[in-house]
Order: sequence, then structure tokens, then C-alpha cells
Amino acid sequence: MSPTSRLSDELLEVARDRLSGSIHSEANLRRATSDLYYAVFHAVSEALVEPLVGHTSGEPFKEAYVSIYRQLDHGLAEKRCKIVAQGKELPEEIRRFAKHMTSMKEKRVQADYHPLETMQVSVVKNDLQMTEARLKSFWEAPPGDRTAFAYFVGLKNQRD
Amino acid sequence: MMSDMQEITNELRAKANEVFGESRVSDLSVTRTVNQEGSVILRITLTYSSEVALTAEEMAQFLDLAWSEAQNVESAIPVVDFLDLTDVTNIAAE
Repeated sequence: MSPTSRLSDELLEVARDRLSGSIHSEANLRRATSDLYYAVFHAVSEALVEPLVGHTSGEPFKEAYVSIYRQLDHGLAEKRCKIVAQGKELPEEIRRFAKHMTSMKEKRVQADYHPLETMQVSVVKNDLQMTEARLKSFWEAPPGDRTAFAYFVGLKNQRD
Repeated sequence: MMSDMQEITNELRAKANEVFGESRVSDLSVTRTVNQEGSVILRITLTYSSEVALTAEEMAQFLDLAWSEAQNVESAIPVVDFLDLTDVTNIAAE
């Protein structure tokens, strides 16, 4: 795994492509919104396994890598992101990432499941701009803060 | 509840004017919903006139302020749609 092969970056690129033309169908705007949420979602999964990068050659490690990558749950992530957003423990760029993630989760649910929702080009393009900025600062944040955030948001404890 | 919503709408409008400048903010509306996780969601639509595009930093600043304000309404999660007035005009023309 290298930074150039991040799935989160590729999902962002897919959203960019969907929004690059002059004609935007409702379906295209909905898919772009979903892509943006999943770009953010996969970034957290990627941060979860970041400490394991370079240790994925053996079968047991591959299993651990996949298992940890798949820990993130949409509902728990929302609850934990809310705690991060309201707190002061993590730096501003991580808190802003948490705020953006909760927004995009809600928008993605509307885009994927709500038949009466009408998507607007400018709203989705602004969501793209925000997602680009938030992902950039997420990957530029200190690795320790990024890992702490990913573990808090992604890993269940015994009370969950 | 109605007065709470009116109050937060007014507060957010004032914050939007601070961040973006009064001349760029055309309208701001807020609706309250509850999502499948049981969280209260404040869906905020900020309509802006697009002579100057919004920057990611401006939008992030406004979202920070919206989070602070949303604490006063059932510890809600704010979700902001930044809507270009041109889109509204196009919808009206359809």
C-alpha cells in the first residue's frame, strides 16, 4: 500500500470525473455524493491499518489487515465523530474532518435512499471542494493524531 | 421548538454574514429531522450569490460555527448545503 494507491483518493477522483462535464443528471449527482462519503469513509479505514503498512506479506498479517480495515461501522462512526467534533482532544484538522464525515454520511443516505430528494449541482460541487480540502489536511495531520482518531471512530469497545 | 428554530436560523444567518459577507448571503433556512441513528439533524441550506465562489476554508469556518450553534438544539448535528443562487433560478425556470 502506497499513498498513490489509496482507494479514498480514487473515489475522490471518480466523484471529480462525474462532476466535470456540463450535463449533470440526478443519478450522476447522487452517485458523486455517495463517492464523496465513501472517499472519507475509506480514508478512516486506511488510517486504521496505517500502522500495519509494510507488514502485510504473510497470510496471518493479511487477515489482520483486512479485519482491521473492515472494522469501521457507519452508525458508530457518526456517534464517535460527534464526540470528536464537540471535543478539544484532537487538533482542528481532525475535528473538521469528523464534522465533514458526519455531514457526508447524512447526505449519502439521502442520495442513495431518498426518492424525493433533488440534488443540486452547486451543492455537490461544494461538497467535492470540502472533501478535497478535508482529505488533504487529514493526510497532512500528525500520524499519531490520525491513528488516534481512526481507532476511536473505528473500533468498538465492550460497551458498544 | 418553533421559537428555537427561528432563533437558530437568525443566529446562523448572522454567522453566515460574518463569514461570507452580507452581500453574498442570499438566504438561509433550517429544517430539523431525526436520522436512522436517532440523531437530531439540522439541515441548513445557505443560498449564496455566486459572483465570488465560496472557498473550502470559508465553508469549514461556517460549519465550525454551525456546530457550536447546534449544541443549543438537542445537541444536534448540523448538515450544510451551500447552494448557488443560480441553481435556484434554474429550478424556478424548469
